[in-house]
Amino acid sequence: MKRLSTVLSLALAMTIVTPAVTHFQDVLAQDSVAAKVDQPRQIQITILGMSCPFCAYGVQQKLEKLDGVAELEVVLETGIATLKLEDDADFSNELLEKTVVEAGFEVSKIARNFESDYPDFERKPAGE
Amino acid sequence: MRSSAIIEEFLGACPARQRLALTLIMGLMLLMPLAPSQLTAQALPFHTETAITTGFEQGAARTFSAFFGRDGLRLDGAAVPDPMQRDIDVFVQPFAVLPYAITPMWTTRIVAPFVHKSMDFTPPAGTRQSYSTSGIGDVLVDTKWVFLSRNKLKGTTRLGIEGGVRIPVGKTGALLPGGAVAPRPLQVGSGYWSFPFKALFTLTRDRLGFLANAGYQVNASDDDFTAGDVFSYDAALGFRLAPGAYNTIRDKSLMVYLELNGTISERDDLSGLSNPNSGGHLVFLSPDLQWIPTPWLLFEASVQFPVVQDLNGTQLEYGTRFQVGTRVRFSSF
Repeated sequence: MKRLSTVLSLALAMTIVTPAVTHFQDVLAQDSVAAKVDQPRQIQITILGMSCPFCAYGVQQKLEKLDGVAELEVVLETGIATLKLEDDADFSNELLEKTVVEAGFEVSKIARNFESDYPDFERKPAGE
Repeated sequence: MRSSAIIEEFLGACPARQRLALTLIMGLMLLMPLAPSQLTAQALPFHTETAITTGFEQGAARTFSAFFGRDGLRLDGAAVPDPMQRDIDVFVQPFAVLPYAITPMWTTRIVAPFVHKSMDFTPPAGTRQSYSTSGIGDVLVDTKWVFLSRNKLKGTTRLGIEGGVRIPVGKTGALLPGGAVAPRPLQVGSGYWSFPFKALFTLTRDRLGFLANAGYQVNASDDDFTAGDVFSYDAALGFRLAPGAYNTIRDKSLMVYLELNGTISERDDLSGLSNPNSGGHLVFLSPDLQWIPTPWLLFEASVQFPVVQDLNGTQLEYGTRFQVGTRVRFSSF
């Protein structure tokens, strides 16, 4: 009898807690989706080889010219170029890499904050 | 020959004080890249060529004003009286354009200088006279190819070569006050074709940069005259004073450089006879400052001090060189 009451208590607790947890997860997920929708669509390219602003100016010039880039920020300290995109604009990894290489530099990583036909990309440094 | 022996031999030719200074500078330059600091990007010194290119469809332009003089005779390194009391002043304003990159790592360049040369002198049994000439000097057309590039975050290591031709378009017929044609060093143009070639090395790590060049210039003949070929060597250390860390590419930057630029020239040859008063070993040491207010614009200044003047025979001494200039980036297309 004691065992039965323990099992029933556990079942009751599960019945109450599970929907609450599920609901909480849904809320979190919805918040996350809302946050993702609120954020501008952007691509981050990690670029290797950039030194001073004068040397890296070519990267900025070439990325800015891509049709669909609303805003561009190049941070030398992290090597990251952040492309904020217009509407549904997107670029293939090949195009982004070609653009950076033509400026005289090298791509190590491409990441998007939105669903894309192109997968995120990361090149392991030589020797790893 | 071991490298230490070569350095010993090189330093052995210099007077004691210059030897000490050069030993310290060379030691510093060799050790600085090993410093445990985060080394990037100080890759554009005033005189030493960089192995960093502008990139495909990107261009750059550069100009600077250079002032320098020569006066006071030297005979085998010691000062001797100059009976003509010659005092030469030179102003050069080169305009360099990198109009087109054939590939991201292969660029072209054209350099056309405006040159003004003047000399005050006292001819034998005469009064003080002045001479001057000016115009467009010889035009350099060359190309740079970077064949090795190892990139990392906030740094790069690159090897390249640069070579071209200097076309003798500068005038060579300016006359002295007496009516005689002025000697070649006093003319705006050289009168002969020359073919400079350089090997380039550039290393940048965060706030530090190290660059080195080794070059050779072959000079063709003009009539019976052949200028001696020139071996050149350059080394530069760069350090970014500000900012300590970059936030964006638009951050203003202040760089400081220390450069060592040397040339060893062979004697000139006239009608098959070697001119004993020509050629020699010349080394300049220069601190440079560079200011980048916006990514497409750069201002720079350099003062070159002659630290070695091991000139053959009797020649006028080289003075300190003062230079200020600017560089601009642009899209070719």
